[in-house]
Amino acid sequence: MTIEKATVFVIRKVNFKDSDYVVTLFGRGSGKFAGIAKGARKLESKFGGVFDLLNMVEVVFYQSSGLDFISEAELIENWEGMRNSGEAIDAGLRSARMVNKLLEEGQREIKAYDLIEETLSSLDESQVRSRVVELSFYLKLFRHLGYQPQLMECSRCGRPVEDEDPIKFSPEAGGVVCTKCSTGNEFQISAGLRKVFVKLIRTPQSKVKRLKVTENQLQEGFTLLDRFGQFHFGQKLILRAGSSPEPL
Amino acid sequence: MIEPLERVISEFKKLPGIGQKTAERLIFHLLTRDSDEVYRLSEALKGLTEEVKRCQVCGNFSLGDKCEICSDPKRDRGKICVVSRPWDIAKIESTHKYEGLYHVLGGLVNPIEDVSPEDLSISELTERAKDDRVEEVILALEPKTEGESTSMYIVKKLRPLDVEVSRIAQGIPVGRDLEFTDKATLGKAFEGRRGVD
Repeated sequence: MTIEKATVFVIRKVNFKDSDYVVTLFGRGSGKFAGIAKGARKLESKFGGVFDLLNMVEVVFYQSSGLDFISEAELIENWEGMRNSGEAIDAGLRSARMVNKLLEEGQREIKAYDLIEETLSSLDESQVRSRVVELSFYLKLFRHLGYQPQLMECSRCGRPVEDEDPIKFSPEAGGVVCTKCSTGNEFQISAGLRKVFVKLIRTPQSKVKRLKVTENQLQEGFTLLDRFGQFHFGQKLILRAGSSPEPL
Repeated sequence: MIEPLERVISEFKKLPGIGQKTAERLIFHLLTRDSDEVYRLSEALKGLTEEVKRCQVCGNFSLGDKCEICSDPKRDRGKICVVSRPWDIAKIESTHKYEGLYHVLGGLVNPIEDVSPEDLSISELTERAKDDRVEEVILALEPKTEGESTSMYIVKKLRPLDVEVSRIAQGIPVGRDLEFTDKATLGKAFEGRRGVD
């Protein structure tokens, strides 16, 4: 039995038996893994409320063939600022949902870990446009996992796609498509959205809040990533697009 | 294993916290009991679906269209306490500190589990809050991320209405040592401190 220590984010929590939690954790070195926190639901539990979703926690755990067994946990950061805004909490939870959906058990993704830490730090600040941070998170996570949409060159022939407006976009092809390669089955995106995507990818997550993104561009961006994600990952990833719940 | 046993075990396994071994143990135990006892259990389970309904006003468990609390003329109709699950009502009732009505949301907003505000009875709550008699809506949702998110959503929905919105206090549980209290809870306790008479 190996005892390990890791700093992790709580990205999912499920009640188990009368008083336990099964928590899905995501650590920088440990990757995504599930562990059982015995008695954590009890009022007198030594864990207290440390396994609240999105908390950054230092855990000590024993590796086992099934679920890891968590023996100690200490709260490092609970993003108090973020918890004062419904929209920020919502963006944080959706980001955690995306990590949980896209990463396999045991998968280590240091860049994805750093990204979620930067994202929660940004959401923790006051007066932040949470939806911009969230859109940027999705784009960057897709990039880290090798699924960045092709934005400047045609996804079919590789030639630069001129700054026409609107621009053709094909999730199947992996990004923008030039007029010559168009089959007529692509959908259209605005030139403004392409610029926004390029800026979001290039700008560190901590500075994304300074970028000007209109409400229309946000909606268009979520819709595009939703269609792109559904094609490449085979599941609905982004809740906000289409019939999504209204922002908090 | 013979088919009737497999069928019952498979149904037991659908219950939370019950796996194959526990299901087998429970079934084998039932097989050792006399048939009247097993029959009473099956009748009681049958009654769950036939007799227990959901109150059409608040969502609480009920024997009729309205639960005992909503039907009770002595309850304070100026207050609605919002809970996530029906069993939270029994817990609050056991305190004997509240005499108003309830509203069961049916869960908490949680994007991680694909639960959105539309999945909960929030629009029904706002409709109830429009009643002129309602003066206060008390949020008694769990003080965790999903509870906070749900509370803020409800506050936003109720803001245009002429109704006071409050939430139950947060902080250190009675009888608990400070030493073993996490910093988030301790912080909430300090924020919510009040004067001592």
